[in-house]
This record gives sequence, structure tokens and C-alpha cells, in this order.
Amino acid sequence: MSRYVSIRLIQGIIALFVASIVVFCLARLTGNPLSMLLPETATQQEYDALAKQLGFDKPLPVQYLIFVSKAIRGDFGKSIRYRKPVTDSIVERAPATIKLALAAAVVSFVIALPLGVVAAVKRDKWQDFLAKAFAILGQSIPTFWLGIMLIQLFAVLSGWFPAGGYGGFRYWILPAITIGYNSTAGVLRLTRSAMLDVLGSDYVRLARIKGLPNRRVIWKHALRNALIPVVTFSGIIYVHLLMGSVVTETIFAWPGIGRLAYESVLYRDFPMIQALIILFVGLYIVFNLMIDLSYSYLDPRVRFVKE
Amino acid sequence: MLILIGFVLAAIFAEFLAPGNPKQIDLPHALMKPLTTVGATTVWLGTDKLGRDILSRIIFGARVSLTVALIGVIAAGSVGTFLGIIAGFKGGTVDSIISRAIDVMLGFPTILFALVLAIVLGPSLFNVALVVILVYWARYARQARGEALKVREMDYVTLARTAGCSNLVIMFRHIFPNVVNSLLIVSTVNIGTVITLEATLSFLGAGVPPPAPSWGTMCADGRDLLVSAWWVSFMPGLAITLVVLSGNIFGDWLRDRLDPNLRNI
Repeated sequence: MSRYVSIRLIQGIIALFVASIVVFCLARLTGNPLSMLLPETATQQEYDALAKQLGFDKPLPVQYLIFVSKAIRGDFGKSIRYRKPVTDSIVERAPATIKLALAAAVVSFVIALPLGVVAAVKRDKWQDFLAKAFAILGQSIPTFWLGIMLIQLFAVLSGWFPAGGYGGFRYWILPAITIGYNSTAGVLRLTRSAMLDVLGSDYVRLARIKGLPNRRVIWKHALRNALIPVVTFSGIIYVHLLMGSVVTETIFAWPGIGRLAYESVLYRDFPMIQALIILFVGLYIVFNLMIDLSYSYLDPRVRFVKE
Repeated sequence: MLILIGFVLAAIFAEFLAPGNPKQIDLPHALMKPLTTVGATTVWLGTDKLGRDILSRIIFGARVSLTVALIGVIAAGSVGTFLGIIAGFKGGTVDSIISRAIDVMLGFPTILFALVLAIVLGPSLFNVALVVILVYWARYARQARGEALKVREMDYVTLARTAGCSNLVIMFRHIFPNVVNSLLIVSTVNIGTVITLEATLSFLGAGVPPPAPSWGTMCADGRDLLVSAWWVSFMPGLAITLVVLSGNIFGDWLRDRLDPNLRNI
């Protein structure tokens, strides 16, 4: 078991390194940040001086090695745009995104799970049809459009919710729905199909024969087993939520790392871009690992096979 | 659901349909609400802030979206499938390398990666297609590899080997046809995602450059005008949604027909 974990960890670290190299090269290809920092009238000397100060005058591989050696110690350099350590900006804005991602995830599950169960139980009836329609719409609507439309409907026309900015419930509910709708749809479909599988199985029949009330059979016994693939899927959800936030945060002027990423790319803020992408990739790896582990924990069959 | 298949076809043919009106800038008629009638012509979906007819822009935009989607999916599919089959079939070191590459690619946050690439390469139709290829090949590769692994152990493959077929021949004549089914299913769903990706990139300013009518750019244009001219953003977004929706429904239908194992999902 622990051998499996360590193999996966090593693979993950390798992947992370490869990703960092890719990011490193790409970021530098996006253009020269110097031109954004200096006024147009700057002389060649000033260019060179700034380049030297920021370390751009060294050959690429050397730059990369410097980067790695610092990164391992947690120093991802200074943001070109903000002139302060990258990690500071990230730490500053991360909570906003986490808040949004959690809100979206909670909203997704709260809506999707019951709907999925109902859809499975009332298979092929109108409840099922509605649920399926809802789900497929969720997987088709482009995030940014949903965001704009929600703003249009709920902020501009009716004035119930603010159109952007950071704050309490009224501020995050619209962006949360925007990000969350897509994953709600996914979870719904998954729950539905998993429930359908489970409802046809032997132990459910046994529970029914025993005389347990149907509600209890469905919600307590069947759902528990149906949740297994859903849990697997949720890991991917979290990463998607973090990603979806790039667009949504920009639309709703939400001060999180998604928007930070977008702006950094526009500003060619290399250190920031690198740090952020490495963060995202790292999170993905960690989440996947956690899911694999929890999978073997939840489903004893898997545990025994692995040993 | 079959009705919507028709819609997919309509989306495809829209680009060959004589476009409503040419997409010329017509400032005096800027920002008209949908369904107003000006002299002899009726403006069906309104005009944008430069007076261009939205309906014709949407029709032309369909061309953009479809080109990107088709090129992207076909190219990504080919590259990905090819690599995936090699990985699954050969195994060993080749497999490890390709698999690691797939994992890294899949672990990358799509939008961010696409954004960075798009900015590196500059906004243009071709580059958007390139971005799509680079981002999507991994999905195909993973799928193809899985299928190749399954098929590899089949009897007819062993038979082919015994008969003396070279590896290359085996791969293409035996493994590939069996992989194609699941790939088709993946593709139909992917087309929708690709279109959305292209739209998102254009929306953020990193996709097809103006004045080309990409649905995403149109949405972005209308963003400032939400209060007054809501249709400028609404229409193209609706177009995207409908096309992707019909693509998804079509994909589901296809899946039900081709592989009953995956039903109910």
C-alpha cells in the first residue's frame, strides 16, 4: 500500500518538474515583460540594467536552475507586476478562490445528489426527464455566457444581487452558480447512473424483502454505495472549479487567484504565471492521489486486490 | 432528441447557407433591438454597437467555430489516437514515456494553458486550432491507449502475429477499427467542449481577432452594453449553447447506439 503511494508520489513529482519546465519556457515565450515595465522612451541601457536586475540576462538553462533552487525553498521570486514576492500575492488572494470553489462545490452537491437520486428512482418519468435536461444544459452552457446572463437577469434587471465584487452571500452566490452549474450537471448524471446500477443489485433487493421502508432503502443503503464513483469524480471537480474560476472571477471582479492568473498572463508576469501553474498542477496531482487513497478506503474490494 | 440532431446539421450547413446579409459596418443603424424593421429589411436579432447585423455575424461565426472544432478534433484525434495506440500496444518504455506525457498534459489546467499558448502564438484562427490540438490530444491518447491495451490480448491479434504481420500492420488493421468506436463518441462530446474553449479564448481576447465574428468575441463586445443592449451578448451565447447542447445530445444518442454498456450515463 505505501509502496503504491510512494510510486505515485514520485510520478507526481516528475510530472510537476516537467510541467515547470514547460511553463518556464512558455512564459518566456509570451513576450518580454520589460517592454511593459519601462516607458517607451527608455534607453537600451535602462533595458539592460533592468534585465540584469531581474535576472533575464542569463542563459535560459541557468535561469531555470536558479528558479528551481529557489522554488524548492519556497521562494518563487518577485512578481514583476506587483513588485512583491509572488507567494504573498497568491496567499492573499487564494482564500477568495477557495471560498468560491467551496461554495460552488457545496451548491453542486446539494443540488445534484438529491436530483440524481430522484432521477434514478423515477427513471424515465418526467422527473427523470427534467433532471436529465437540466444536466445536459449544464454541460453545454459556456461558463462565461452563464455568468453574463446571470448578471443580466439578477443584477441588472432585478437588482437583487450585486454584479461583482467581494463580500458575503449576495456577492458569491452568482459566481458560485456560474462555476458550479457545469459540475452539478456532471455529478447529477453520475449519481443517477450509479444509483441505477445499485438499485438493481442484490443487497437492495434483500433490504426490500426484509421489509425495510423504501425510503430507507434508497437513501440509506443504496446511496451509500452509489457514492463511490461520485467521490472519484469530485476530485476532478475541485480542479475544474479552480480553473473555471479564471473566467468567472474575471467576469464578477472576484479577487481570487483565477483572475490573478489571467492578469498575470496579460502582463507577462513570469514568476507569477509559473508559480500559479505549478500550484494548479500540484493540486491536481495531490487531489488525484487523495482520491485514489480514499477510493481504496471506501471500497474494501479495491483494498484487497491491491495487496 | 432527434429534432436536435437536425439542429446540428443546421449548424453545419449554416456556413454554406447563403449568409443572411454581408457583415458590413453600418453605423447609423447601431444597437437596434431584435425584430425591428428598417425600410425593406427586418433585423432579426438586432445589431451591435457598430451597426453590424447580429444574425449574419452569428452565421459567419458558425463557420469560425466549426472550422476550429473540426480541425482541432480531427488533428488532435489523429495525433492522440496514434500515440495512444502505440503506447498501449508496444508497452514498455515507449508506453511509460507517452503515459507520463499524457498525465502531465491532463493535469494542466486547460484554460490557463490554452490562454498562455494563445498569447504566445498570437491571436489568429490557425493558432487557436493549434492550441486546441495541443490541449486535446492527451484525452484521445488516453482513451486509445486503454482500448489498445484491451484489444491487444485478443485472439485475432495473436493470430495476426503468428501469421507474420509486422507490428505496424497489426496496429492499423486490427487494433484501430476497434478503438474507433469509443473515439467517435469521445469526439462528439469533445466538439462541444472545443467550441466552448474557442469561444472562451476569444472572449478573453486570446482567440480569433476582430473583426472576425467569433461567438466568443461577440459576447465580450456586448458585455459593456448589458444594461442597454442585452441582445448583443445574449444571441451569440445562445448560439453556442444550442450548438453544444445538440452536440451533447447527439453524442449521447451515438453512445447509446454504439455501446450499450455505457448507457444511463
